[in-house]
Amino acid sequence: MKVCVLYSGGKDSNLALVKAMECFEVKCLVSLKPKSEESEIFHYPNVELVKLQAKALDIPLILVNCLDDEKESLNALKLGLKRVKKMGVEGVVTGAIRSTYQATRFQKVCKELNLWCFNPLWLREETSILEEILKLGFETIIVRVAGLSERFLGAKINRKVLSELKKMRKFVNVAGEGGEYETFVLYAPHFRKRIKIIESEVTKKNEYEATLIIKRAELIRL
Amino acid sequence: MIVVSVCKYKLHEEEFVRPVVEIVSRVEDVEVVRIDEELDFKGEKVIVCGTALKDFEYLKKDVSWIKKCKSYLGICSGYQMLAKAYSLRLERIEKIGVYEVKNVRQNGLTSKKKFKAYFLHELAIPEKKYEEIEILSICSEVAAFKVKEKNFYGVSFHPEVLNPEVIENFLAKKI
Repeated sequence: MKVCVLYSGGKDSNLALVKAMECFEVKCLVSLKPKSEESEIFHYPNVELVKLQAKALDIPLILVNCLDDEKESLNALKLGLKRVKKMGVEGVVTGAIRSTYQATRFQKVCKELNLWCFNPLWLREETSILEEILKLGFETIIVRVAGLSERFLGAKINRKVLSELKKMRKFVNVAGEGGEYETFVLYAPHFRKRIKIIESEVTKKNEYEATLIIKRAELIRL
Repeated sequence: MIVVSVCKYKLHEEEFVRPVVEIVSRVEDVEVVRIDEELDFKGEKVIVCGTALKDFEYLKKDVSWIKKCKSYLGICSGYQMLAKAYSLRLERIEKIGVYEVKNVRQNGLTSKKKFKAYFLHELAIPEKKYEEIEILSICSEVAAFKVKEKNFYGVSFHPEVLNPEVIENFLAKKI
């Protein structure tokens, strides 16, 4: 089966991509570019950089602009998926973990477009996801914090960060499922090139929310 | 405990089988069997998991083995297979997402009178009187039922998402 992967560039969609590649032919990635970080469904930080990730992966990317509200986001997703259906795609793979809100909407869109829907990370215990990406050798950085200390911004997810997140598990979801943090994958074994950040800056929205804007980055041959 | 996968595609087992296995394995050893293998579970305790919305291969399979089980919990597709084993007519009832379920008969699967559950199906048995089953819960369809005089249960929702106690109670023989 030919599938597409709903791709945000973060750890979950990259792990879902790894699972998809083990079973199917990944024809393309589909990313939605919300207008702002207020998007109800899709991941915002550095979404433009998924173009660079798609090049690093050597997988075609369908990038669709969308507004922030649910109805417009889902319409944009349908538009993107209608395009990939014309490329022979029969299934959609997502990185949804626990949100029934997100899963319900993805399932309904797939049903409407007669596409198979795969959620290989569904109900995974959060720590096990971080353990798996570390084991696979993902190089992942934190690019947005909302409720998590700003000192984590730009930090690579490694054993030390994982251990700190585990200690805070009473207050934050270890995998950032509650939006506590968002990630960007610079390298993983399924990448053909590595992403190197050249220039970045931190923008603070308020005391609890900050984003690492990657202004310039380049691809490095392995 | 035997956990049966009815998934046509292996990748769907991550979504529909693994979460159930994780709940069961906290309590007892699990053996996972695929529907395309030879099924003979005489005297065994069996859970049959759900699968994707577009997957209906399991309804083409033989279900005569179900009546030989010691106890049976059918989740979504497993509910449909149990209905088929007892010749209950499945109707096209599409339900995707979280809905409120009402218990209409005291039962051991859950003690709650009302609860929210996650559904993902296109087929279910409608609410009406049946000879061979007791209706336990409703949600504009039969959401949970028990075969009379047997430890055979069917739930049209996915308890592994919001109601793990349904699986735990089935395992704990509270039923």
